[in-house]
Amino acid sequence: MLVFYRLIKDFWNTALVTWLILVIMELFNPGTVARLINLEYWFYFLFFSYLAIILLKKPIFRS
Amino acid sequence: MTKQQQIIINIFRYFWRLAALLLIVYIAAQSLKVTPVWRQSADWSRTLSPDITGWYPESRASWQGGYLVVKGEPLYLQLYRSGDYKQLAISGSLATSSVSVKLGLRQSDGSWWWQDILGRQFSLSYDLSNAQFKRNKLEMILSAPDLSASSTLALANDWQFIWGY
Repeated sequence: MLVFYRLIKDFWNTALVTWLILVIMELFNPGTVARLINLEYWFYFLFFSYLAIILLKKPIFRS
Repeated sequence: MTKQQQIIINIFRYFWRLAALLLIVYIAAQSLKVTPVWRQSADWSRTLSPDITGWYPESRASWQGGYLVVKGEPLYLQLYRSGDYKQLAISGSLATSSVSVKLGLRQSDGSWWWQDILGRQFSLSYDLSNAQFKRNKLEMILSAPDLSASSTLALANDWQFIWGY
């Protein structure tokens, strides 16, 4: 389970950094990213998946 | 944690990073248009695409038999500009029963630069030096003041937007 937890955590970290880079690209050149990807939905995914990881961390991943 | 587990974690870690890098490179490549001419082809069967938003309001037009049938006016359109293009040429065709049609480009002072569409086939050219850009998008308007319940106006699906310097 610890391996599974690490895999998900790595994925989440990469998704967060990628989202930040895309937000910076969008700020510097509006429309560049937004016309292809919905960054708002991406943010919601990061937020709720973070909550899920925190909530499930103890009962599942640390068992 | 065993060495084998650590290898699996590292493989996936680099896979995520590679996928993220490819995504960023793809988006950057889509946005960096350095060609002297950039051609966008319209598809009126859908009102939302990466480069073109419209025509809207959607209730004023419907997609029928390969044409966008205009039921009300005015209609609006947003075009994404990639790069610092200074000219926009629009060409295409429409089917109408002697309805006068005008196409306008939003200017930086909020006014419209109108050009009449004459004939079934048309080609218009706009200078973008005073055009209004919001989030790298310009806005266009299609007006047909004579349009009534007895007249018809339909836009063919062959419109092209050609950006140039």
